[in-house]
Amino acid sequence: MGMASQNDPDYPLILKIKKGDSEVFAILVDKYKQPLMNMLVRIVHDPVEAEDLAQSAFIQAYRAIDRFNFSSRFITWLFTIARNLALNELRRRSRHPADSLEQSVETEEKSFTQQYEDKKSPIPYEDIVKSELIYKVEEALARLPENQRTAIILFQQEDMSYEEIAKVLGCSLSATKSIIHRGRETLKQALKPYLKSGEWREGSETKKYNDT
Amino acid sequence: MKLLEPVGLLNNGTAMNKTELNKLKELALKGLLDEKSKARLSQLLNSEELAQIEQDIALSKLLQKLPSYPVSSNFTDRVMETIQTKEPEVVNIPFLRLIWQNLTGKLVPVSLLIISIAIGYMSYNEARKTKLAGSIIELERVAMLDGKNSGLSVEVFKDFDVIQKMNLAGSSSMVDLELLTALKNQ
Repeated sequence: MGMASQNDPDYPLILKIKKGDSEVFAILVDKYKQPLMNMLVRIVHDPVEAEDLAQSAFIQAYRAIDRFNFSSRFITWLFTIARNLALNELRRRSRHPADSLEQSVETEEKSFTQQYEDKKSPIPYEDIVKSELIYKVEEALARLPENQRTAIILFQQEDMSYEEIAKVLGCSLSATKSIIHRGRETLKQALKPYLKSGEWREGSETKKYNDT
Repeated sequence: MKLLEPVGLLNNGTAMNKTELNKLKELALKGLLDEKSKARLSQLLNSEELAQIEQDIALSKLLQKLPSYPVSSNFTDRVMETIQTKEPEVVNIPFLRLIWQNLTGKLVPVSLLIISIAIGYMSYNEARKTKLAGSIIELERVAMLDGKNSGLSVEVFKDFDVIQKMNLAGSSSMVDLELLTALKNQ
Protein backbone atom coordinates (compact mmCIF):
# COMPACT_ATOMS: atom_id res chain seq x y z
CA MET A 1 0.00 0.00 0.00
CA GLY A 2 1.36 3.41 -0.97
CA MET A 3 2.51 6.13 1.37
CA ALA A 4 -0.30 8.35 0.14
CA SER A 5 -2.76 6.31 2.23
CA GLN A 6 -1.54 8.07 5.34
CA ASN A 7 -2.42 11.47 3.88
CA ASP A 8 -5.58 10.46 2.08
CA PRO A 9 -8.69 11.54 3.97
CA ASP A 10 -10.71 9.10 1.86
CA TYR A 11 -8.65 6.10 2.97
CA PRO A 12 -11.23 4.67 5.42
CA LEU A 13 -14.04 5.01 2.88
CA ILE A 14 -12.01 3.35 0.13
CA LEU A 15 -11.25 0.41 2.39
CA LYS A 16 -14.96 -0.11 2.99
CA ILE A 17 -15.71 0.07 -0.72
CA LYS A 18 -13.00 -2.48 -1.45
CA LYS A 19 -14.67 -4.80 1.04
CA GLY A 20 -17.93 -4.52 -0.85
CA ASP A 21 -19.79 -1.62 0.78
CA SER A 22 -20.92 0.12 -2.41
CA GLU A 23 -23.25 2.52 -0.57
CA VAL A 24 -20.24 4.32 0.86
CA PHE A 25 -19.21 5.27 -2.67
CA ALA A 26 -22.08 7.77 -2.72
CA ILE A 27 -20.22 9.84 -0.12
CA LEU A 28 -17.25 10.16 -2.46
CA VAL A 29 -19.51 11.04 -5.37
CA ASP A 30 -21.15 13.83 -3.38
CA LYS A 31 -17.79 15.09 -2.22
CA TYR A 32 -16.09 15.29 -5.61
CA LYS A 33 -18.83 15.77 -8.17
CA GLN A 34 -18.62 19.58 -8.04
CA PRO A 35 -14.83 19.96 -8.35
CA LEU A 36 -14.80 17.27 -11.02
CA MET A 37 -17.50 19.09 -12.94
CA ASN A 38 -15.61 22.38 -12.65
CA MET A 39 -12.52 20.85 -14.21
CA LEU A 40 -14.35 18.93 -16.92
CA VAL A 41 -16.44 21.86 -18.14
CA ARG A 42 -13.29 23.85 -18.68
CA ILE A 43 -11.75 21.03 -20.70
CA VAL A 44 -14.63 20.09 -22.99
CA HIS A 45 -16.43 23.47 -22.96
CA ASP A 46 -19.84 21.81 -22.72
CA PRO A 47 -21.64 21.51 -19.36
CA VAL A 48 -23.91 18.67 -20.56
CA GLU A 49 -21.01 16.64 -21.90
CA ALA A 50 -18.97 17.45 -18.79
CA GLU A 51 -21.66 15.99 -16.54
CA ASP A 52 -21.77 12.79 -18.59
CA LEU A 53 -18.02 12.52 -18.38
CA ALA A 54 -18.10 13.12 -14.62
CA GLN A 55 -20.57 10.26 -14.22
CA SER A 56 -18.44 8.00 -16.39
CA ALA A 57 -15.37 8.88 -14.34
CA PHE A 58 -17.06 7.88 -11.09
CA ILE A 59 -18.38 4.66 -12.60
CA GLN A 60 -14.99 3.78 -13.99
CA ALA A 61 -13.32 4.56 -10.67
CA TYR A 62 -15.77 2.30 -8.84
CA ARG A 63 -15.19 -0.57 -11.26
CA ALA A 64 -11.43 -0.23 -10.88
CA ILE A 65 -11.43 0.31 -7.13
CA ASP A 66 -9.73 -3.04 -6.49
CA ARG A 67 -6.75 -1.85 -8.52
CA PHE A 68 -6.44 1.43 -6.58
CA ASN A 69 -3.46 0.91 -4.28
CA PHE A 70 -3.11 4.34 -2.63
CA SER A 71 0.02 5.23 -4.57
CA SER A 72 -1.70 8.63 -4.80
CA ARG A 73 -4.68 10.22 -3.12
CA PHE A 74 -8.06 9.08 -4.35
CA ILE A 75 -8.86 12.56 -5.67
CA THR A 76 -5.70 12.52 -7.80
CA TRP A 77 -6.61 9.14 -9.25
CA LEU A 78 -10.20 10.20 -9.88
CA PHE A 79 -9.18 13.40 -11.63
CA THR A 80 -6.70 11.47 -13.77
CA ILE A 81 -9.49 9.15 -14.94
CA ALA A 82 -11.78 12.09 -15.61
CA ARG A 83 -9.20 14.06 -17.57
CA ASN A 84 -8.37 11.04 -19.73
CA LEU A 85 -12.06 10.61 -20.53
CA ALA A 86 -12.28 14.29 -21.44
CA LEU A 87 -9.25 14.07 -23.70
CA ASN A 88 -10.78 11.04 -25.44
CA GLU A 89 -13.87 13.13 -26.03
CA LEU A 90 -11.80 15.96 -27.50
CA ARG A 91 -10.01 13.50 -29.79
CA ARG A 92 -13.35 12.07 -30.87
CA ARG A 93 -14.56 15.58 -31.70
CA SER A 94 -11.45 16.31 -33.72
CA ARG A 95 -12.40 13.41 -35.97
CA HIS A 96 -15.89 14.92 -36.37
CA PRO A 97 -15.52 18.57 -37.43
CA ALA A 98 -19.18 19.25 -36.82
CA ASP A 99 -18.42 19.13 -33.08
CA SER A 100 -15.38 21.41 -33.31
CA LEU A 101 -13.70 22.89 -30.27
CA GLU A 102 -14.37 26.46 -31.35
CA GLN A 103 -18.06 25.79 -31.44
CA SER A 104 -17.77 24.33 -27.96
CA VAL A 105 -15.90 27.40 -26.68
CA GLU A 106 -18.71 29.56 -27.99
CA THR A 107 -21.20 27.25 -26.31
CA GLU A 108 -19.41 27.58 -23.01
CA GLU A 109 -19.13 31.35 -23.27
CA LYS A 110 -22.84 31.57 -24.03
CA SER A 111 -23.74 29.19 -21.22
CA PHE A 112 -22.16 31.27 -18.47
CA THR A 113 -23.09 34.67 -19.89
CA GLN A 114 -26.70 33.67 -20.29
CA GLN A 115 -26.82 32.89 -16.59
CA TYR A 116 -26.38 36.58 -15.98
CA GLU A 117 -28.47 37.86 -18.87
CA ASP A 118 -31.48 35.86 -17.75
CA LYS A 119 -31.85 37.70 -14.44
CA LYS A 120 -35.29 39.20 -14.09
CA SER A 121 -34.41 41.79 -11.45
CA PRO A 122 -32.14 44.83 -12.02
CA ILE A 123 -28.53 43.92 -11.53
CA PRO A 124 -26.45 46.08 -9.16
CA TYR A 125 -23.52 47.80 -10.83
CA GLU A 126 -21.04 45.89 -8.73
CA ASP A 127 -22.47 42.58 -9.87
CA ILE A 128 -22.27 43.69 -13.47
CA VAL A 129 -18.63 44.55 -13.06
CA LYS A 130 -17.96 41.26 -11.30
CA SER A 131 -19.83 39.40 -14.03
CA GLU A 132 -17.76 41.03 -16.73
CA LEU A 133 -14.56 40.33 -14.84
CA ILE A 134 -15.39 36.67 -14.33
CA TYR A 135 -16.35 36.48 -17.98
CA LYS A 136 -12.97 37.85 -18.96
CA VAL A 137 -11.16 35.40 -16.72
CA GLU A 138 -13.13 32.46 -18.13
CA GLU A 139 -12.50 33.69 -21.63
CA ALA A 140 -8.75 34.02 -21.05
CA LEU A 141 -8.69 30.60 -19.37
CA ALA A 142 -10.58 28.99 -22.25
CA ARG A 143 -7.96 30.20 -24.71
CA LEU A 144 -5.08 28.49 -22.91
CA PRO A 145 -3.86 25.07 -24.08
CA GLU A 146 -5.75 22.34 -22.25
CA ASN A 147 -2.82 21.20 -20.10
CA GLN A 148 -2.13 24.73 -18.84
CA ARG A 149 -5.79 25.37 -18.18
CA THR A 150 -6.26 22.11 -16.29
CA ALA A 151 -3.09 22.54 -14.29
CA ILE A 152 -4.07 26.05 -13.19
CA ILE A 153 -7.57 24.95 -12.21
CA LEU A 154 -6.20 22.08 -10.15
CA PHE A 155 -3.55 24.30 -8.58
CA GLN A 156 -5.85 27.18 -7.80
CA GLN A 157 -9.22 25.67 -7.11
CA GLU A 158 -8.45 22.19 -5.86
CA ASP A 159 -5.31 23.15 -3.97
CA MET A 160 -3.47 20.14 -5.36
CA SER A 161 0.27 19.91 -4.90
CA TYR A 162 2.62 20.08 -7.87
CA GLU A 163 3.28 16.34 -7.47
CA GLU A 164 -0.41 15.52 -7.64
CA ILE A 165 -0.99 17.75 -10.64
CA ALA A 166 1.96 16.07 -12.35
CA LYS A 167 0.24 12.72 -11.89
CA VAL A 168 -3.01 14.00 -13.34
CA LEU A 169 -1.25 15.51 -16.33
CA GLY A 170 1.04 12.52 -16.74
CA CYS A 171 4.24 14.55 -16.86
CA SER A 172 7.24 15.32 -14.68
CA LEU A 173 7.28 17.66 -11.71
CA SER A 174 9.47 20.22 -13.45
CA ALA A 175 7.29 20.12 -16.57
CA THR A 176 4.21 20.68 -14.41
CA LYS A 177 5.70 23.75 -12.74
CA SER A 178 6.66 25.08 -16.14
CA ILE A 179 3.17 24.47 -17.50
CA ILE A 180 1.58 26.31 -14.60
CA HIS A 181 4.05 29.19 -14.84
CA ARG A 182 3.49 29.63 -18.59
CA GLY A 183 -0.25 29.50 -18.18
CA ARG A 184 -0.25 32.08 -15.41
CA GLU A 185 2.02 34.41 -17.38
CA THR A 186 -0.36 34.23 -20.33
CA LEU A 187 -3.34 34.95 -18.07
CA LYS A 188 -1.57 37.87 -16.42
CA GLN A 189 -0.92 39.41 -19.82
CA ALA A 190 -4.51 38.87 -20.95
CA LEU A 191 -5.97 40.26 -17.73
CA LYS A 192 -3.44 43.01 -17.01
CA PRO A 193 -5.94 45.91 -17.02
CA TYR A 194 -8.19 44.10 -14.58
CA LEU A 195 -5.39 43.04 -12.29
CA LYS A 196 -4.20 46.62 -12.02
CA SER A 197 -7.62 48.12 -11.55
CA GLY A 198 -8.19 46.36 -8.24
CA GLU A 199 -11.62 45.07 -9.18
CA TRP A 200 -10.58 41.64 -8.02
CA ARG A 201 -10.24 42.88 -4.48
CA GLU A 202 -13.96 42.64 -3.73
CA GLY A 203 -14.29 39.97 -1.10
CA SER A 204 -17.38 38.16 -2.32
CA GLU A 205 -17.52 34.43 -1.80
CA THR A 206 -17.43 32.11 -4.78
CA LYS A 207 -20.70 32.24 -6.64
CA LYS A 208 -22.39 29.56 -8.67
CA TYR A 209 -23.47 30.19 -12.19
CA ASN A 210 -27.12 29.64 -11.37
CA ASP A 211 -27.18 31.79 -8.23
CA THR A 212 -29.80 34.58 -8.33
CA MET B 1 -3.23 51.22 -2.28
CA LYS B 2 -0.39 48.83 -2.94
CA LEU B 3 -0.71 45.45 -1.33
CA LEU B 4 2.99 45.21 -0.63
CA GLU B 5 5.21 48.21 0.00
CA PRO B 6 8.93 47.72 -0.64
CA VAL B 7 10.85 48.21 2.58
CA GLY B 8 14.37 47.31 1.46
CA LEU B 9 16.62 44.39 0.71
CA LEU B 10 18.21 42.25 3.36
CA ASN B 11 21.92 41.71 2.85
CA ASN B 12 22.71 38.94 5.27
CA GLY B 13 21.64 35.26 5.27
CA THR B 14 21.08 35.24 1.54
CA ALA B 15 20.76 31.45 1.19
CA MET B 16 18.11 31.24 3.84
CA ASN B 17 16.22 34.19 2.36
CA LYS B 18 16.00 32.42 -0.99
CA THR B 19 14.31 29.41 0.57
CA GLU B 20 12.00 31.64 2.53
CA LEU B 21 11.39 33.76 -0.55
CA ASN B 22 10.41 30.75 -2.63
CA LYS B 23 8.09 29.57 0.09
CA LEU B 24 6.44 32.98 0.34
CA LYS B 25 6.12 33.18 -3.45
CA GLU B 26 4.35 29.82 -3.40
CA LEU B 27 1.91 31.14 -0.83
CA ALA B 28 1.38 34.21 -2.99
CA LEU B 29 0.63 32.02 -6.01
CA LYS B 30 -1.99 30.21 -4.00
CA GLY B 31 -3.36 33.47 -2.63
CA LEU B 32 -2.58 32.35 0.92
CA LEU B 33 -0.35 35.16 2.14
CA ASP B 34 -1.22 36.48 5.58
CA GLU B 35 -0.25 39.94 6.82
CA LYS B 36 2.92 38.74 8.46
CA SER B 37 4.02 36.93 5.29
CA LYS B 38 3.20 39.97 3.21
CA ALA B 39 5.39 42.14 5.41
CA ARG B 40 8.21 39.64 5.22
CA LEU B 41 7.94 39.51 1.43
CA SER B 42 8.15 43.27 1.31
CA GLN B 43 11.49 43.05 3.04
CA LEU B 44 12.90 40.53 0.59
CA LEU B 45 11.91 41.97 -2.79
CA ASN B 46 12.56 45.10 -4.79
CA SER B 47 9.71 47.19 -6.20
CA GLU B 48 9.64 45.48 -9.58
CA GLU B 49 9.55 42.03 -8.04
CA LEU B 50 6.88 43.16 -5.63
CA ALA B 51 4.76 44.36 -8.54
CA GLN B 52 5.01 40.91 -10.10
CA ILE B 53 4.02 39.26 -6.85
CA GLU B 54 1.07 41.60 -6.54
CA GLN B 55 -0.11 40.57 -9.98
CA ASP B 56 0.29 36.91 -9.02
CA ILE B 57 -1.75 37.44 -5.88
CA ALA B 58 -4.42 39.28 -7.84
CA LEU B 59 -4.62 36.54 -10.47
CA SER B 60 -4.83 33.86 -7.79
CA LYS B 61 -7.68 35.67 -6.07
CA LEU B 62 -9.52 35.98 -9.37
CA LEU B 63 -9.06 32.31 -10.22
CA GLN B 64 -10.34 31.32 -6.81
CA LYS B 65 -13.49 33.31 -7.47
CA LEU B 66 -14.37 31.41 -10.61
CA PRO B 67 -17.91 30.16 -10.19
CA SER B 68 -18.89 26.52 -10.01
CA TYR B 69 -20.93 24.97 -12.77
CA PRO B 70 -24.25 23.45 -11.69
CA VAL B 71 -24.48 19.71 -11.21
CA SER B 72 -27.81 17.89 -11.60
CA SER B 73 -29.55 17.25 -8.31
CA ASN B 74 -29.89 13.54 -9.13
CA PHE B 75 -26.27 13.14 -10.22
CA THR B 76 -25.27 10.89 -7.32
CA ASP B 77 -28.43 8.82 -7.65
CA ARG B 78 -27.74 8.16 -11.32
CA VAL B 79 -24.15 7.09 -10.60
CA MET B 80 -25.21 4.77 -7.79
CA GLU B 81 -28.00 3.28 -9.88
CA THR B 82 -25.54 2.46 -12.64
CA ILE B 83 -22.95 0.83 -10.42
CA GLN B 84 -25.48 -1.13 -8.41
CA THR B 85 -27.58 -2.47 -11.28
CA LYS B 86 -24.92 -3.19 -13.90
CA GLU B 87 -22.13 -4.54 -11.78
CA PRO B 88 -22.03 -7.81 -9.83
CA GLU B 89 -21.24 -7.81 -6.12
CA VAL B 90 -17.64 -7.07 -5.36
CA VAL B 91 -16.02 -10.36 -4.31
CA ASN B 92 -14.53 -10.00 -0.88
CA ILE B 93 -11.54 -12.21 -1.58
CA PRO B 94 -9.67 -10.69 -4.51
CA PHE B 95 -7.42 -13.71 -5.08
CA LEU B 96 -10.32 -16.14 -5.57
CA ARG B 97 -11.99 -13.59 -7.81
CA LEU B 98 -8.85 -13.42 -9.92
CA ILE B 99 -8.77 -17.21 -10.25
CA TRP B 100 -12.47 -17.32 -11.14
CA GLN B 101 -12.10 -14.60 -13.73
CA ASN B 102 -9.12 -16.33 -15.29
CA LEU B 103 -10.82 -19.73 -15.38
CA THR B 104 -13.82 -18.34 -17.17
CA GLY B 105 -11.74 -16.06 -19.29
CA LYS B 106 -8.80 -16.59 -21.49
CA LEU B 107 -6.78 -19.05 -19.41
CA VAL B 108 -8.81 -22.19 -20.20
CA PRO B 109 -8.62 -22.14 -24.00
CA VAL B 110 -5.00 -21.09 -23.93
CA SER B 111 -4.18 -23.86 -21.48
CA LEU B 112 -5.96 -26.46 -23.59
CA LEU B 113 -4.04 -25.34 -26.62
CA ILE B 114 -0.73 -25.57 -24.80
CA ILE B 115 -1.58 -29.01 -23.41
CA SER B 116 -2.63 -30.25 -26.85
CA ILE B 117 0.60 -29.06 -28.38
CA ALA B 118 2.60 -30.65 -25.56
CA ILE B 119 0.84 -34.00 -25.92
CA GLY B 120 1.29 -33.93 -29.68
CA TYR B 121 4.97 -33.19 -29.36
CA MET B 122 5.49 -35.88 -26.75
CA SER B 123 3.72 -38.44 -28.93
CA TYR B 124 5.78 -37.49 -31.94
CA ASN B 125 8.96 -37.68 -29.90
CA GLU B 126 8.00 -41.07 -28.52
CA ALA B 127 7.25 -42.40 -31.99
CA ARG B 128 10.52 -41.05 -33.31
CA LYS B 129 12.47 -42.69 -30.51
CA THR B 130 10.71 -45.98 -31.11
CA LYS B 131 11.49 -45.84 -34.79
CA LEU B 132 15.10 -44.99 -34.13
CA ALA B 133 15.43 -47.80 -31.63
CA GLY B 134 13.95 -50.19 -34.13
CA SER B 135 16.41 -49.06 -36.76
CA ILE B 136 19.34 -49.54 -34.40
CA ILE B 137 18.17 -53.06 -33.55
CA GLU B 138 17.85 -53.87 -37.21
CA LEU B 139 21.30 -52.56 -37.95
CA GLU B 140 22.79 -54.51 -35.08
CA ARG B 141 21.26 -57.73 -36.24
CA VAL B 142 22.27 -57.11 -39.79
CA ALA B 143 25.78 -56.39 -38.63
CA MET B 144 25.79 -59.77 -36.87
CA LEU B 145 25.16 -61.58 -40.10
CA ASP B 146 28.23 -63.34 -41.35
CA GLY B 147 28.44 -62.73 -45.05
CA LYS B 148 30.24 -66.03 -45.71
CA ASN B 149 28.06 -68.36 -43.64
CA SER B 150 24.76 -66.92 -44.68
CA GLY B 151 25.69 -66.79 -48.27
CA LEU B 152 25.01 -63.11 -48.36
CA SER B 153 27.29 -60.40 -49.56
CA VAL B 154 27.48 -56.77 -48.58
CA GLU B 155 26.20 -55.89 -52.00
CA VAL B 156 22.86 -57.20 -51.07
CA PHE B 157 22.59 -54.78 -48.17
CA LYS B 158 23.05 -51.77 -50.29
CA ASP B 159 19.37 -51.98 -50.99
CA PHE B 160 17.84 -50.80 -47.71
CA ASP B 161 14.35 -51.81 -48.70
CA VAL B 162 15.62 -55.36 -48.89
CA ILE B 163 17.04 -55.09 -45.43
CA GLN B 164 13.70 -53.85 -44.22
CA LYS B 165 12.04 -56.99 -45.53
CA MET B 166 14.40 -59.22 -43.62
CA ASN B 167 12.63 -61.04 -40.87
CA LEU B 168 14.80 -60.22 -37.87
CA ALA B 169 12.36 -61.35 -35.18
CA GLY B 170 13.81 -63.62 -32.59
CA SER B 171 17.43 -64.26 -31.58
CA SER B 172 18.54 -65.67 -34.86
CA SER B 173 18.31 -63.76 -37.99
CA MET B 174 15.49 -64.98 -40.14
CA VAL B 175 16.08 -63.60 -43.54
CA ASP B 176 14.00 -63.94 -46.56
CA LEU B 177 16.43 -66.29 -48.29
CA GLU B 178 14.27 -66.61 -51.35
CA LEU B 179 14.26 -62.91 -51.91
CA LEU B 180 17.93 -62.57 -51.23
CA THR B 181 18.75 -65.38 -53.62
CA ALA B 182 16.63 -63.74 -56.25
CA LEU B 183 18.40 -60.48 -55.74
CA LYS B 184 21.77 -62.17 -55.82
CA ASN B 185 21.01 -63.78 -59.13
CA GLN B 186 19.94 -60.47 -60.69
